[in-house]
Amino acid sequence: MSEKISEVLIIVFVGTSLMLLLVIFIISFFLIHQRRQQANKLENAKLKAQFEQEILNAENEIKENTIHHISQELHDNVGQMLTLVKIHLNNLAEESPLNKKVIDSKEIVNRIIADIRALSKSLNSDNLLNEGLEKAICFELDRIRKLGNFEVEFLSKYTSNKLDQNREVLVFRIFQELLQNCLKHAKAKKIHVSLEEEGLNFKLQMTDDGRGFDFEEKLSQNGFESGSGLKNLNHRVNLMQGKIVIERGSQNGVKALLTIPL
Amino acid sequence: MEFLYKLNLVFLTLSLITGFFLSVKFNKALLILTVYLFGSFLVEMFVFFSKSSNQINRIILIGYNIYAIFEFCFICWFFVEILHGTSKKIVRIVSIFGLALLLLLIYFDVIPQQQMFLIGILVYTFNAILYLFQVLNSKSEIHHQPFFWIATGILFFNCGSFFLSSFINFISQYDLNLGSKLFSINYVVNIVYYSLITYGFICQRKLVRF
Repeated sequence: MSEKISEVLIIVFVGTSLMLLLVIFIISFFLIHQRRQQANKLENAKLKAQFEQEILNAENEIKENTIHHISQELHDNVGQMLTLVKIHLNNLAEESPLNKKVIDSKEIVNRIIADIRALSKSLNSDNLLNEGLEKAICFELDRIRKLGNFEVEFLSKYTSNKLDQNREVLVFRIFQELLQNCLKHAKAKKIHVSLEEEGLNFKLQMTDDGRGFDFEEKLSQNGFESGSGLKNLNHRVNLMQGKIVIERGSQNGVKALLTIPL
Repeated sequence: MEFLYKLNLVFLTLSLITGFFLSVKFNKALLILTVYLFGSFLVEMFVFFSKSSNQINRIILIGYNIYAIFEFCFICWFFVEILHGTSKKIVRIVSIFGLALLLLLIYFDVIPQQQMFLIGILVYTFNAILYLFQVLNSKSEIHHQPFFWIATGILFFNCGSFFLSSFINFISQYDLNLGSKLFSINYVVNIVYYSLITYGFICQRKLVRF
């Protein structure tokens, strides 16, 4: 009988040990398999993000090229033709110096030439950013101030110039988009722009006293009503791994805060 | 032996306290598990104190049989709560059949403890494996999932005590002392089981916090 007991004891010990080992093996398998799966997913997400980044870069490059081309056309073609018109008007003015229509036309053409030059300069990022982002924004704001309809304030505490030229172009285009929104849609009278560095971040803040809008709602719209400019703006922010918060200001209008890691 | 038994009770109490206090936001499945732990705690305490006051062993045995049905219902309910889709239906059907079998055993035999525990072991192991296959492809990390650790504990305990439950009556018939010594295996797997349940509760708290 004791032999039978010892056989049973062996069965109990060996069986229990094997069962426990099996459980440990199964659980380890599950944990390792899941960890590998997670790592795989992470890798895929990384590749996808990289791919999207490259697409965004390409899109941005195309846009910049188009803008550059338009700027050159304005400067070289339209500008030249307007200069020709101006010469003709000068000739006409010499022939009949008292003709008021000619004098008025000369003034209008002069204004158009100045505006086109400014617009061409503002579109051409190469020219603009040769002197740095701060100057470029200042120039753009001056252009708006000269229109006489807006009160513009600009405050800059960005002195280190740590942003490279590509990112400066992107920041400048974002600034232009925000400014366009203020002028076109917000019906603002006062615009305040500030640049600063906070820790390892560059910050651009723009506030206005216009009627404001719902950023998320506008961004989610499709078709003609959609805010395509805002979508471009979002693309550009993503390109720099930055963040943009657009919300209602403390009183009226919109407060936009762009944050970019330096 | 006595030490392992007391340690087992300490771990059971610890998991019950963790269930009550650490899991700030219970979900239904964890609440079921805490009620089950509370039932286990009451039974174990009754056995512990009645042993020290020399109560009749037969009452304890009947108590364990009633507890086996209680345990079966609550653990199956727990798995029904945490499983989805077809697995949930399968567990429901298996649980109903298992319960019917347990009740039949009680009807035909007054103290069918061994058979009852074996049926329980088979059903719980099956449920735990079904759950593990369900979480295998889950998006979240399974080592942060409370139910993963609890299912692991259930699997570990039941696989670890399968051979012992199958032969303990046979061994005890010939050598009662050897049988009670062998039972220490059960205490060890029980300690691991309660530890994993406690860890599961802690994981739930972490999930709620973050």
